[in-house]
Amino acid sequence: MSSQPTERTRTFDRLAANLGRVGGVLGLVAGIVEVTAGSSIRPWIGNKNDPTRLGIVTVVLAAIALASAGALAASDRSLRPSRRLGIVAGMLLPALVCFTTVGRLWYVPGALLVAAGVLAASGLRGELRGIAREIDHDATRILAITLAVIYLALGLTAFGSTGLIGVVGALVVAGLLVVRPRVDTPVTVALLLTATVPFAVTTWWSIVTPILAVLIVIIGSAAVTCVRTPGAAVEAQRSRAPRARTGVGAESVLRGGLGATETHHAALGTREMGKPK
Amino acid sequence: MIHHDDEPANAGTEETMSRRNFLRRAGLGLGAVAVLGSGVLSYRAYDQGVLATGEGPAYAPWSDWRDGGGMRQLIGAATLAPSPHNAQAWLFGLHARHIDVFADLARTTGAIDPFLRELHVGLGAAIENLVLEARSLGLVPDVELVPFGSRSNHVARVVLTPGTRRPSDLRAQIPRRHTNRYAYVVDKDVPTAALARMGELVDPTVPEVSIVWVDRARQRAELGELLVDATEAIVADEAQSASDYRWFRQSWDEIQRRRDGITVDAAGVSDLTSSLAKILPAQSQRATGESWLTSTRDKHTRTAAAYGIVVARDATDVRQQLEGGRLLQRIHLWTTGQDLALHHMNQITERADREIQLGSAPRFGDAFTRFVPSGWQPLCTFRCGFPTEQPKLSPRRAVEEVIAR
Repeated sequence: MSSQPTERTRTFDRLAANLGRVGGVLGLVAGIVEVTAGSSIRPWIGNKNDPTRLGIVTVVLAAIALASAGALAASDRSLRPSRRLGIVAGMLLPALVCFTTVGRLWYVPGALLVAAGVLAASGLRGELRGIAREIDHDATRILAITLAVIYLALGLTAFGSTGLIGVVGALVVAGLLVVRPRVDTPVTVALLLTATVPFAVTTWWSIVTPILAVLIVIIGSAAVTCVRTPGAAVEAQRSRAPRARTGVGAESVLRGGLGATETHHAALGTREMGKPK
Repeated sequence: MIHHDDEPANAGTEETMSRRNFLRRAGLGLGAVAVLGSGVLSYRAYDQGVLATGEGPAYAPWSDWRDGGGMRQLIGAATLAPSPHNAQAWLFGLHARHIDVFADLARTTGAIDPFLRELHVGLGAAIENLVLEARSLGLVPDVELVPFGSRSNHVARVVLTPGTRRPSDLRAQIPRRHTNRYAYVVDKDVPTAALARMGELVDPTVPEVSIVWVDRARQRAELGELLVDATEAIVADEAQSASDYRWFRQSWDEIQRRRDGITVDAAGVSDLTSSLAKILPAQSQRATGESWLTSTRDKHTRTAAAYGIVVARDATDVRQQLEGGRLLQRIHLWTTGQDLALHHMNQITERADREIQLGSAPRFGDAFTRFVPSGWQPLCTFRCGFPTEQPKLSPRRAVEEVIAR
């Protein structure tokens, strides 16, 4: 949990949000220019072979940066470390990646977004432990989302209806991972299969899409369902437990985190280990 | 809950938690490695255009070759012609009433084609496309070959005067024609009537050029063996092998930038093999040569339903080479319209020319003569048959890049 931000952090956040919004808007303009007039101004866009597609990528990434800046502007005073990290990544990654997509047109928006990202990142000082804890808690989901992003990227590189199938599938996977609907594991697996298999089957020869689909189903189903498993609940409870509450106190917290089934198993296990009377 | 007297109350749970924690972390580590690996693999697939076969600016001319209209459209049609190693060794001079065609001698295939025989055949194919397109637009093309003699790289002048539209079936096939390097349907011969119809494409006003068919099984097998031997000799010849390899494009970026050469996609391999070839590191010259030899032996010659040999009275004459190229292109366009497949296979003449260049014994030059009637010389060779797969597009340079300044 983050502490209350200092005045300096609040000032930096405001500045970062403003820079990010200006950079994001300029980035959108750069992307649109690349899509519409890129082939006529090749030196300005870094002599790209495929200005249309790279322009679309630029627009999408600039929109992500703009949304991140907007989220920073709209955030309350106590920004959770993981949320701040997400905002920083949402500005910095597009800022850096787009230096390779739209040439000189990105110099100004890229510089503004990098500055915004660095300013926003300054609020992360002293929060590394908290970030590490949150990342550890959500590691499976982060892995699965990473896979979904890769799947989305491959969908975007494929053409026509095949590419569309990939994009839609990746978005469905991402949606499942974000929303984490309270459904049974078989249903989750079925949903993930439905989202990933069509693109993987139509592009099976590419080797990468079938591999990704398998990984998404395995890691994705774990990510969607693990939050409801007793172990994860215990871990979650433990990570949330105040340090002072150790020993018996912590045990009671652990017990409190166990579901009925787990309590039953734990009791059985103890009973088996105990000496017969 | 029942406790062992000596154990702390939560010892079992702690042990379970520790084991679970260990397993969880191990699983996460494996997952992270798998995600990282798949990320690297995906990037490589993206970088090599695995999912973008036939897309991008290098392939755009196949769909937008008519852009610009008028004379530019004629050049657009010409650039879709086949050429040795897809080197596209052509340049066009655009004028108000005529188009000049030049050989771009910076784009030869070196030791593969030491006397520019194939280069001129490719230019002849481009001229034929230009002529067919001109007629379909209502222009009457008057083709003058080698207007300044065979030593000049100015190989043709096509004067265009207004006339009536003469669209043809052949012209309609120009953007559909592709070299098919896949295996062909086995034991399905090209009908004799089709061979005869292709024979009718010989221009009666050019008696120095004709076509010879090798369609009987025994002859086919003999010619196939000779082709395999010639391929083996080319692969073993360092200079020829290097010249061949120079036009093999293995990087997606290079394909999109240079827009020429032979690509993995157009090599007639399965989609899976093609993906693997793109994702894995680029093949060496030796491996590429061996792969070509294997394909020639196990796929190309074994499944050829017929071989066609374009012959000339004097195969060293530039004019006849150009006319041979025009005939070859008409045949290729006709086969496209009949859903037949065609693949240029010039290994024997490449070796024969190399023997002359090196002054060595004419092994292949002599061996090839038995397939050709007396008084004729082989100019270029192809196999045809019924396709098992539709060929992929080959990269093409844009019209702006081939207009002489």
